[in-house]
Amino acid sequence: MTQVAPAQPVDQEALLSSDFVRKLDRLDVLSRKLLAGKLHGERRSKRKGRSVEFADYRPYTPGDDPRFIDWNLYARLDRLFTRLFMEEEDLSVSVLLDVSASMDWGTPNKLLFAKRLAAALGYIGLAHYNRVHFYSFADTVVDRLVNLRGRGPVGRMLGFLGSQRARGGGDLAQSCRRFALTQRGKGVVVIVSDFFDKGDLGAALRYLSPSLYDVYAIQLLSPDELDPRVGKVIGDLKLVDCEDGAATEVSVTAGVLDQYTANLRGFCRGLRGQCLRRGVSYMMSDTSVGFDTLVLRYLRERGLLR
Amino acid sequence: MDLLSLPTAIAAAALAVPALLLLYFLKRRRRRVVVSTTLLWLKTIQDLQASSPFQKLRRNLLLLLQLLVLLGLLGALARPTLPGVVAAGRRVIILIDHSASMNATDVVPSRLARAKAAAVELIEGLTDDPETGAVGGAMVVSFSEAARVVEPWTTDRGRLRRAVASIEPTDLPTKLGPAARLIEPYTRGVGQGGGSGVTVYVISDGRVQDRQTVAAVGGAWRYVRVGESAENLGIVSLAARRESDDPRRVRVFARLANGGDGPVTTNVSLFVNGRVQRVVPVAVGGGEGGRAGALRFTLSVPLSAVIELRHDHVDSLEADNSAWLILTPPRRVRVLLVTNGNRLLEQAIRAAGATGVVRVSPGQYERGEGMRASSDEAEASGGDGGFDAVVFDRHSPRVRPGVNSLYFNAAPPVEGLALVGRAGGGDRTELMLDWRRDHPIMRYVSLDGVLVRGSGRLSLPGGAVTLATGQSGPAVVLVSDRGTQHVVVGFDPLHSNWPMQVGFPVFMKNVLGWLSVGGRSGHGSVVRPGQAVAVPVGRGVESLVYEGPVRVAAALTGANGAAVVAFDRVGYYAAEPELVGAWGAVGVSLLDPLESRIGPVDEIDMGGQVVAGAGEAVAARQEIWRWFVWAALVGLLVEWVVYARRLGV
Repeated sequence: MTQVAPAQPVDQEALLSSDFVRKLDRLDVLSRKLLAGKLHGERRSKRKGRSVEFADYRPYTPGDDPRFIDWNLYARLDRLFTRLFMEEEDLSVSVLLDVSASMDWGTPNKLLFAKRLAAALGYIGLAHYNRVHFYSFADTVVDRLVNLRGRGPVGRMLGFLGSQRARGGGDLAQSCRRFALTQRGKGVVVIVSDFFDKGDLGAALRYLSPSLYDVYAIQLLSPDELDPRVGKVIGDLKLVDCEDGAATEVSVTAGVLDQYTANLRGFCRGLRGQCLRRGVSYMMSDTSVGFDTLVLRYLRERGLLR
Repeated sequence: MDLLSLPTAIAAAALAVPALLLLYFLKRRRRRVVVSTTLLWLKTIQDLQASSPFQKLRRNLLLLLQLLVLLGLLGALARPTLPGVVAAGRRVIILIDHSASMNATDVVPSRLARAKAAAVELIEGLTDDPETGAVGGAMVVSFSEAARVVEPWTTDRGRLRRAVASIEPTDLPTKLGPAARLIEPYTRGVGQGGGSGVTVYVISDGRVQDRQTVAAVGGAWRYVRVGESAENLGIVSLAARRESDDPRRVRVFARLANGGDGPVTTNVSLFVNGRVQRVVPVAVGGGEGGRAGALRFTLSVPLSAVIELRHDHVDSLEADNSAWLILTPPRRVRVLLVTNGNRLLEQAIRAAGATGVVRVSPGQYERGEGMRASSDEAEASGGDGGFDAVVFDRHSPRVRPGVNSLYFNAAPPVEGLALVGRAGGGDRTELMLDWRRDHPIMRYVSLDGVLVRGSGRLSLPGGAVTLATGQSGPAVVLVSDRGTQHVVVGFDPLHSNWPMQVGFPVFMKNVLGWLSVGGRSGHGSVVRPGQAVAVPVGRGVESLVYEGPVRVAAALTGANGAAVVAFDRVGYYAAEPELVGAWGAVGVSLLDPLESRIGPVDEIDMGGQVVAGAGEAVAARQEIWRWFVWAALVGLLVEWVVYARRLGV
């Protein structure tokens, strides 16, 4: 577990290759909820609007546009009804990127993996004229790039992601709180993190109200975190936490490793349970999984992309 | 359990135990590894500690095991010993067997050496009892055919050790009786040793020939068994007889006994005057009872010769691998007949091949008249008055004759030998019940149908050989006394029908042949260890020494020109100065079936009291540091297994 592949500097091609971009053009970000947007876009809105798709009738009230009165119905029922049409608006997609020190870890590096994932999601959102926001967080929201729309700001997006460096300890609750206060409006929120947070994960997710956000939690773990034998974490060791520097002396034996694996499984199970309770869609991925596979297959299976 | 090097162990423990604890409690140098989070590791440690109720024990198990290993090694360093059977303040008598079978080399270097080592261990184990103030002491006695106090009671261990070391090997038979009688005053409690508190250690292989007649009187008897194997092939019998018509042709008879379990095949070589005459292969079966292999050779030899028989099977006991036989030229026997007149007996003596039969009356004999033979040959022979044997007819001499003798209805003045009811014993007629057909004197002699009237009854000394037994007891006996042999017939032949039977002249020929000069009348004779032989040396010889395995000096008897010599060791001896004739060289042969059977016995039945044997180590203080080292090694193994299981990744 001592292998640390530094995530920086990263050029844009490494984050989003042109070959991969062509594959992403076919995808779109999917929200399980009909969320109101701000601008006209390609997505159905809860609001009734001026699209060509019929939605419903309602009794005519004075002031309604007489162009939408259904005269055929008036002829049959002798009452005035106004035709309503579906509104198509844009979708707000927020990507929360964990840049705490624990993310800059493992082989393949978790932060690099997370940046590529964020870039892919962002590109898909931008390609479909959604409003895309990027927030990087550690102990709080440390950087952001908001209100991107259309393919134009792809370069800014990649520049933003490429410039993110791992820093300090992580505090997911504080970061979510800051995000909720900062980001007004409804939308899809994707949290990309390892969720190694010594605080209360349930409290963190509480800030992401299901009524406002369609939240996806993507947990990234490196292979040597899943199995410390890979990183040769064996013997009498002094384990140092890379975030807070806390040291733990432990004699890593077979029994200890078994217990560690069981605890990791329990930790992931607990996180998944918290997500289910909060209406958050959870998925865990190993960074050794091919990035293409994750984006083109797993995220589609989980319903984040289509 | 005693600790011989306790101070050393304490000093080592004072250094090693704190050092181990210090090493253990010193902060272990751990490899520093940076991880993404210690969240899960902390939880793991907490879970492990919570799930194991013996966490403290588990954490310290390695330390405990290491301490045990260290204690084992320190224990070994302290040289722990189990006490021997010698209790503190106890007095012991150590009887060391140095008979022929103790020279066996089935244990290295030899049984006697091991016995001496066991004795030294016993001596080392002597301790004073601090509670009662009793002082441990010991007495060392060696025994074979006879017993000797090598070191009387002492508490000086140095002297006791030197006494044990001074015990020399012999090839004598094993007899425990003399030793038991020798120490009886001490074991009974009348001696200096202190009585029943004495422990007697018999260090032997248990091949005691007189165990049925010896009694373990007083004291606590312990038998320390020495020896392991019974594998031995020995020559147990060797004899020769000249052809009556051709004295140069000699028939040699031999017997080999195999004490081992398996059969033995070997070559037996016959040497005459040092030159090989015959080599024959012999197969001797083994197993219980030690089956014997009989050999017979017929060959032409010089009139005077030394015949050696040797087998080339390598075994534990070398003394019985060779045997010697001395052939002297056949010559006529000169006999002095002491009688008041007995033509029948005189004729029988002449018919037996004797020449120069001189007849004297008992009165003349007692006055010493007519007892000197006139021939020069008789002078040279050195016998008593020149006679080879004296025959007493119904007259018991006041003084024991200096040569071998034969008695009819009379007895020599030998202690313990008496003819009871010799005169007027009644008219009761008796039959001969049994006789020793295998003895040379009784060979080809049949006593069937012999009727005896008015016979006496013989009371016998120890060591007498009964050759024939009548209804009232021993009738014909052979008594050895101070180097001379006496054959006593307890009845008068004239009062029996024996002279009318063919057995009588045969008996006379046998007995005169046996008695004349130690039975060396032309047939082969053997010399056994411990046997005193009279060597005719002639006049003018001032000293006689035999050089062989050991140097043996003969005791000159003075005017009669004979020397008495006894050999303790088997082997070939040459006389110095050189002697002409058969006595120029003497081969001393073991020829003892009991000593050749060398298998150590587990217990000695001493007159009904069974003394169970124990190994050599039992007698001595046992050092058990090896057990501690083994325990430490096992502890080390367990510690390694525990450590490996913890890190078993």
